[in-house]
Amino acid sequence: MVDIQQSTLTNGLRVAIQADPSVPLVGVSLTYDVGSRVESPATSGFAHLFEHLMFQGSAHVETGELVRQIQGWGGTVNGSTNTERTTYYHSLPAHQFELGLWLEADRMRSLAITPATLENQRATVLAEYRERVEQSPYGRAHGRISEISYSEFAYGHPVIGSRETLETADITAVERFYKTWYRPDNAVLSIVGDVDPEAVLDTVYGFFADISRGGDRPVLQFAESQRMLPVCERMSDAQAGLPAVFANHPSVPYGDPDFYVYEVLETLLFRGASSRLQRRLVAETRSAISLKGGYEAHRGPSLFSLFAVLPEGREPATVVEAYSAELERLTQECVSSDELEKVHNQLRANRVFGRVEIINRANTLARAVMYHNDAHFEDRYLERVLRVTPEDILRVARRDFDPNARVVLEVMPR
Amino acid sequence: MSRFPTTAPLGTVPAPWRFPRMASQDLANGLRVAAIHVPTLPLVQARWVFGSGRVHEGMDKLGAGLMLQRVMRHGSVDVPAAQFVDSLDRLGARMGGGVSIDSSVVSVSGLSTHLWRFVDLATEVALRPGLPDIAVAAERFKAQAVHRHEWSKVDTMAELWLARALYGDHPYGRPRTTASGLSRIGRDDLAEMHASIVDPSRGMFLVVGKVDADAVVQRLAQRFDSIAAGGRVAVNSVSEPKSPAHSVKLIPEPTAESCVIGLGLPAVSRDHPEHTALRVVNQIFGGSASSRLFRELRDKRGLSYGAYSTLDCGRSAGDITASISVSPESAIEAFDVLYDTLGSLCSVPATDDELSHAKRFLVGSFPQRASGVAGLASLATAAWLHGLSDDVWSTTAARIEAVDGATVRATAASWFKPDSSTWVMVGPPHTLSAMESTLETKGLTVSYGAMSELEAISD
Repeated sequence: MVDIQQSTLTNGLRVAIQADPSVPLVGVSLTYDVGSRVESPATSGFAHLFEHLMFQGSAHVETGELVRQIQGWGGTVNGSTNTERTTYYHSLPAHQFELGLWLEADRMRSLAITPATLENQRATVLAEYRERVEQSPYGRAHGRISEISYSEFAYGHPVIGSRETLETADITAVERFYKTWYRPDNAVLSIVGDVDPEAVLDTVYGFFADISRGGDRPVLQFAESQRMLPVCERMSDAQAGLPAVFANHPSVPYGDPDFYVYEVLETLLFRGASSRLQRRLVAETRSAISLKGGYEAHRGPSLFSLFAVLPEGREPATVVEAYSAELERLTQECVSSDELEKVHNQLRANRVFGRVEIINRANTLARAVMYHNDAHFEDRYLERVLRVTPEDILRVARRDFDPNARVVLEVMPR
Repeated sequence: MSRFPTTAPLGTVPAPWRFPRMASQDLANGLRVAAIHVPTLPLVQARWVFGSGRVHEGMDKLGAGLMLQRVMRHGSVDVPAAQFVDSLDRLGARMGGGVSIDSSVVSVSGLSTHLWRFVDLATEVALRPGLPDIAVAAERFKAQAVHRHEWSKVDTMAELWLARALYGDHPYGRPRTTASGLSRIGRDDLAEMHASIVDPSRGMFLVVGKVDADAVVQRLAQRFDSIAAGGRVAVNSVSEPKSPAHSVKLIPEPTAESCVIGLGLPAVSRDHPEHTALRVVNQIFGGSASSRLFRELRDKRGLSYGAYSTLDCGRSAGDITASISVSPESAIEAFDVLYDTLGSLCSVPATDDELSHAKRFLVGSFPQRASGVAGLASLATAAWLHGLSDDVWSTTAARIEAVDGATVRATAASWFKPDSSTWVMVGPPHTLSAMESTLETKGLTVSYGAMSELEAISD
């Protein structure tokens, strides 16, 4: 088992450090337990807007200086937001590990939110919204499929939010958001690379330990009163040159014993040119030009999804039919041991590929602590996936792939 | 009492880093076999590289390179498509590479225990692709759909027109596909394209990963020593492109909800002596989120989400490009900022801080670029493709460090000249027409274009 040093500071910050001298780099991930799922209709898009504001300076770091300091040593730095969390990550040459931690600590303790930085980042996020949603093929459809796949707002809205709330976000609400969620007891800090864990931990204590924990956090409830109301909707998209279709089924959240069955199902159906759906929909019948999808796990209600771009003139219903037939097959017959062994090999190799980038490793470690409360989740993952049996797949498919509990969104070029 | 310092920590001494040693052997048939030992993870990549690519596509068959790249994934003469993809997935392997403008690559990566299976699979499809008619039809069908999809996107429109504005009829200026080109491509065209690219005597076979590099080279030499040269390969002998005009091409797109502004400047081929200095100046201009473009366009004004420039150097020419997507109402302001930031490289020389920052970025980011098997393989094959010296990557840091302020000023004055710039704008018709007078004040020759003109070059 990989040696990972874990600690929790008195202010609640969880820390995981993994030394690896094989590359002269350090990867750091500071992941806050705040994603779009905590938003309300009035704060839709705040988590992502906040990701941008976090680069706008703090007590000892001027606007834009964080990126400049990291890149000044050849490092890479960025952030990402999804439904579950907001992550700030960077890599640096290992001898500069203190610099990255200092920059993260400064913005955790003293972010500078001013009317000017809010206006600047509002404009930037609206530019991103225009590029990714309004001007992008299927951009609006990606938002719509979230809305119709959930009965509650938490997961049922796009991470980027709405133009209206972004345009009207005021500084008081933004400051409240920061105080509520950006605090040490709501974050996981992971550090991977060519470092001495003792020295790193000492630095973490020095930089983070005196940041105050703050008051009580809101308790979030994510159970949906009625899960996945079956619906089939059609929309047109002026930016799309080709028809497309989304199809979502409900699935299980992180921590569910069937989490690993879904990991196998995703690979079996979607990954690699010999996977069932790639073969049937793309290679054999040419029903789809490209295919994405798989397991969208959350800590709340989760999905198993399909997104297919179709050739011109093809009716989306034909792809949904073929997809249904493949899911139906899973409910009728056990996957052969030979096919399951292929999937196991793919998953085994994927885990190694996932360790190439130092930043990926840091982010994976932070997520393991946040979602699974287990820094050694990666070590155990493969063992658990390899335990999935054909009978497990049959059972889960029969339980969850009900064609009458499915959301479909057809997108037609205008 | 807080231990939090009020100034940034200074760091310690960096660990020494060197590009790993490459074992290699040039075989009597002209093939170079090589291997690099990377001990970090149990991964390996096996790749064929050939120094020829889409530059030899016929104008009436644009898309043949792309089609060949796709159809090569459908197995070999002896291994049918279904068996081939099943073999890859069964090994947990990933196939990569493609037919680019100047070169062609076929690679297979995965767990290092399967190295020799990867060598077999890569060799099968690289040297003896099956090119079955059914696969040609399937990939043409898919490529036509993707073509339609891509050409409807405003950023693709800007990218294609920018290449055209920079290179004109030179192969670097051609679109990767045209609808009519794709419709004409058959199996024989792909076979001919393959024969014009794949010649082991002008190729390299490289293995990078957790392997014994010397032993691998020895075994590869035995394995490939008897392969005969292809003999039909077309050696790249493309002339240099003409200098682009100081002009702007406006592409009205009624469905556009934003305006894409593209800037192009001619640069140099990869083996040119000014290449390193150009990398440094491009870094100051728009190479990262710390560069002038990003600071002016996004940090200060929030005009665009991304604001970067790219230096792209091929075998016979190179270019510097920047592309931003902005709201139609801020298009004039964004163009002015982009134009003035370009001009500032000459009028406001790089400060010592900017130069130092750019050099530290380029030097410091190098170990990261070279940290995985794919990154190392790309660097090693790039050196071979461009005829660079064997120690090029070991001396990269020293060459970057040697670029001084005077060199930066001279390089900026030679290559980042606003009056040598060429521009493309794609956006709503009324936005573009409203910009005409602004563009003319910069001395730009304004003309209008349409995607149908690009399509017509295959007719």
